[in-house]
Amino acid sequence: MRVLLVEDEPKTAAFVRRGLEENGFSVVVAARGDEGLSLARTELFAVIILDISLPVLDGFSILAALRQSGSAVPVLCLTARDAVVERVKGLELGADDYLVKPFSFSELLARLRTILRRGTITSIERNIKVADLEIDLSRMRASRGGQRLDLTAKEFNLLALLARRQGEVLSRTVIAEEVWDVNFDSETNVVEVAIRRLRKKMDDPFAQKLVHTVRGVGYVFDSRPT
Amino acid sequence: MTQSGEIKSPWSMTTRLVGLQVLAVALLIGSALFFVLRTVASHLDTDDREIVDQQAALLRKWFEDPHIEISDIMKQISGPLGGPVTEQFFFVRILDSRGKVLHESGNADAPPIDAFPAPANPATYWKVDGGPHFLMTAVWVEVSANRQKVQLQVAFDVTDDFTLIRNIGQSTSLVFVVALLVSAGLALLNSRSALRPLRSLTDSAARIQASQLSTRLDATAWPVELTPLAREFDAMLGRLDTSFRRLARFSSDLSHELRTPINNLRGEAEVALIRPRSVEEYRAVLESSLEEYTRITRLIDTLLFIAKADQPESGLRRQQLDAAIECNAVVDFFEPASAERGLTLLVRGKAPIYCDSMLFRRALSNLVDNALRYTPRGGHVDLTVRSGAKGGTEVEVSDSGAGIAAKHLPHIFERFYQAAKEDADAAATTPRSGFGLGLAIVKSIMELHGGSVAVSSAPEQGTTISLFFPAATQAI
Repeated sequence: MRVLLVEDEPKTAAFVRRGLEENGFSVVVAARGDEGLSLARTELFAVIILDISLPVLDGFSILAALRQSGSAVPVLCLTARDAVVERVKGLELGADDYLVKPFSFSELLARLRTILRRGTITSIERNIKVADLEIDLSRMRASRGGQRLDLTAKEFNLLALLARRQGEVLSRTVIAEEVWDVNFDSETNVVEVAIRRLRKKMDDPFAQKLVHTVRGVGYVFDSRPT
Repeated sequence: MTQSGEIKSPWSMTTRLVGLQVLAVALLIGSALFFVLRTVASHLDTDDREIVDQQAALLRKWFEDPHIEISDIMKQISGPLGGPVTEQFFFVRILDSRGKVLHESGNADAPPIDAFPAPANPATYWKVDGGPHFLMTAVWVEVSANRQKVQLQVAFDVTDDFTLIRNIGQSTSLVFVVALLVSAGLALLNSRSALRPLRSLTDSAARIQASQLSTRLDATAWPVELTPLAREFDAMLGRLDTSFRRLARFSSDLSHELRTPINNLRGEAEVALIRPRSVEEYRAVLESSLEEYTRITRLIDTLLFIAKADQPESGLRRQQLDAAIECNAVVDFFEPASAERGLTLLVRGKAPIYCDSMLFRRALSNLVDNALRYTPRGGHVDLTVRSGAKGGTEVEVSDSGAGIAAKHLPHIFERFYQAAKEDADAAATTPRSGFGLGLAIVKSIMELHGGSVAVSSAPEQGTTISLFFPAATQAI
């Protein structure tokens, strides 16, 4: 999948490129706004990651020019400024999502995947099966090795989120947002506690662990052998 | 920005003071002088009329007296404007009943016959061009000797009186003008000296630099009219001083909070690079640094949030909500944490609330988080909602925790204030975590909503923090 990264900060461009390439994307980097715009117009990309403050032509102008010429390519904006006005402006101009620097790479990845998933027709999932874990989404039941897990509603949602996006590292912020609809960063360790309690029920009694901690980043659901 | 009730006139105060004073003096002296002049003129007029009437009466009496010879009378009045009664000059003319002149005193400036008023009418004035001024009267006389009826015209020279009035008028005008000039000068001096304290107040204010916000104008050192100004100015300085100090402390706390994680990052990286290490060791360093980055990011986000909340124009998306539902959403989030700590976390009551849902949940989360942290196992945290004064909403978070010592209460909403940092007692009983910005955020959120926050606490019994949200109609 081809990604255009328009970013003038060399270190940022380098780590984003590397991270994306290691996750199966092929990345084209443009360091100047005008370069980025001409690339976006001449080549085909699955998604564009657009820094707002750029030399020659800023991100907003690129976005406006693209949308004006009828391009519907998904755009994710990056900015070092957190002004709500700027965020609103970006979304009004037709950006698909918005990330404020400093951002966590796992979050960038998660948001990219969400953008790319949009539009593709997802079959309505009823059941998820990973190793000996079975999740029945319609009846909100989960079992391991045929043994039913006694989960609260939120615990079930948490497990379903992790399992649905297996292999993807989910940050605490993303988890809080998806499970509890809490879209602000709080200093609490609530997500850790919830994960711990979930694990106690669905991982601790079993030999194979499915929920893994990625220290400093978040949690990942994976059936890899530990 | 202009204040309401401002004085629109751009005139200087000195101009206005001097102008008013000169106007007052002009009215006062002008009317006094005019009155004096009029009194003098009317006195002279009365006197002169009396004199001319008396003279006419005297002559008539002579003519009508059979014992007085006409020739004697004629002798008396034939001289040029000679008069027997006073030193003043008279002109006398005698006409017969047909208007023919029988006699007149020899005088070059004699007023014409028809200038005189008809007999028995009040005396009138007459002015000969370039000559004297006369007051004239006429009477009928029956001469006793021949029973002939004649008209007696008597004119009295009042030139001196008119000159006198004119002179008085001229000198009073001079007095008037001089008085105006003198009073204007005095008013100017006076207003200058009256405004001098204002100027020195300005000078004092101008001398105050940001570094000397603790200086005061000293309200007692100024005239009573300026005392309120000086007092208010001092009060303003006080407020500025406080926020300046707070800002300074805030910056130093901020740099400290940034220093700590950056120092960790730097040190760990340096130590890691001193000699070759195993992959696991490198991984541990990277993981540790990721934690520090998250800490810095969170600090920046939080500070930006507070900074934005300080600007009233930041986008507040308020709507009418059910307070209990909002509280339950937060309780849901903290449910695992409270269960793990063996605490009960409950929402009581029901009330509508007008607020920004995201911000309300954020404020409540900070309060619940604190309450859970400081409440020992087996305790309880209650969220109570109720309708408050003027249609507003009260939301209370109370716990059965350790409580907050009274000396910390006034400060807990300050940025970076942490009781555990301030004294050893608190450090022993309460674990230090976070940046000490949680309650500052709560306060900012409440200020954004035009509401308020209050705390009450009893050691070993618990703490209650109450939020007050104004009604939609009261909200700003």
